[in-house]
Amino acid sequence: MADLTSRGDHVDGDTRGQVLLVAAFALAITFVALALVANSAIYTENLATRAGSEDTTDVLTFRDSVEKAVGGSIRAANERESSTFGPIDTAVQSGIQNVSDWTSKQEARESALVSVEHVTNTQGTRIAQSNASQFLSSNTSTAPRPNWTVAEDVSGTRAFEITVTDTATLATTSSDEFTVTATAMGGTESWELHVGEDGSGAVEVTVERENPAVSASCTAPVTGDPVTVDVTAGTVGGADCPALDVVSGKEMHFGAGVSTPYDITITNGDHIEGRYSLVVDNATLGSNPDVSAAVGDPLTNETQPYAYPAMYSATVDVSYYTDVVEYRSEIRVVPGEPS
Amino acid sequence: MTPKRGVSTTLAYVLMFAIATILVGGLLISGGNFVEDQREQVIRTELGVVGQQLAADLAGADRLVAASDGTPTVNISRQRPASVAGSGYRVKLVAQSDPYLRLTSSRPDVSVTVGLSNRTALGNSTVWGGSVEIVYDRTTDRLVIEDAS
Repeated sequence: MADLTSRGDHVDGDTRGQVLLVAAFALAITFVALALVANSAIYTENLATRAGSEDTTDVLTFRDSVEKAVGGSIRAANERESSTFGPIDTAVQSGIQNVSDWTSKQEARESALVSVEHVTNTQGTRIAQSNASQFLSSNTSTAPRPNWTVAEDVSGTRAFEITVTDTATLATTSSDEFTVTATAMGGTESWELHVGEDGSGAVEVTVERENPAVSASCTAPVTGDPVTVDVTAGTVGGADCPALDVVSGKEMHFGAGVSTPYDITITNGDHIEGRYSLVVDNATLGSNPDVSAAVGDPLTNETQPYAYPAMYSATVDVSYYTDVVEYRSEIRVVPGEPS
Repeated sequence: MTPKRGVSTTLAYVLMFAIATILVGGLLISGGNFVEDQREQVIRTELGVVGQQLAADLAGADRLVAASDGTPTVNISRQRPASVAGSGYRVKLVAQSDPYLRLTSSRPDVSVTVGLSNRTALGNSTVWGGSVEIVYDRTTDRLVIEDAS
């Protein structure tokens, strides 16, 4: 039997428990390893709480604000109505430089390095009538006609607004209604916009497109004058008009279904009274005899409608750098283009 | 009990030693298994966290590419842990109709899959954990992951 009393061999008493000691050491190492694993677990929890995706949101916000700022610069330069394109070009480029300077200062506070650079721009023409009158041609050699060509060889139209100042002049039958047509050059596809009255004093806008053929209309929410039809933004009297946007999954915006380039014509211009303005991307409209070339102050200009050089679009190079995100892209800014 | 019996003492000692060894060995083995289990769990959780963050960054890069017209330069690089609970890991981006990210640790062999949804095309790529960079490849119009150098 084993001698369990301490009266036994002195050496035995000393060597007893060695296995236990070694085992204790080994177990201690195991516990230390467990502590390291627990440390990893705590680190993982900390890692999981770090949010990551606000960097891309910042980039997209910045991009959007640059697009709006440059769009505003284009609009402001066009509104100055210069008779040559040069001053508009200079104004927009200096506006873009301002946007770059100010956004650099602002974003530097968020530790981001940004820059906005002008790459190129497209010259177009702004055709407008600022006196409230019928939408007739301004052909000065013959009498103004109600059916005339607004612009030819156009590939893009933006910022098209019609303001009706006298609803009583609108027609109620579709054959008499004032119509704006975009017809493909050398083709027959067309897109039509009719502005008439629905019979109870409210402005009614009808849009027809071909290929596939869809027709839709919407009415202004209130009667009375004036009523603004924003063709490219898709609103009538301030309310959204799906007939100018998407109907049954088909695009209905200005020129939908018409291949570029196209011509823009007006018919029954004597069945409407008001003002209008649109910007097209054709820069050579000075030769259109139905529109007078820009002369003098348009508010007192007796020959209306008139055509002024305008900037149609501008392309800028936007870059955004932080320690996490690097983003560089070209943005084409076209304020008021139907999407 | 004073006279020692030679065989009994040795036998007793060996018996005691054997029992002690079995007990302690059992304790150590179960302790070791326990630590291994915990380690595997921690690795799985950490790979899952790193994978989800990578997927979020990929979605962000996807948004940036989709918002640009033309071919932009998009680059997202973030510092991520180089090892999970003492083990290195690899990240693999598998581009197919149901794309996913697979993170695999070296020792022990633990694998975690994170699903992705995207609009921009993705490119097959594999990279070691650590500094992973998400790059938009302008020549192939794909988002890939690369080692940030």
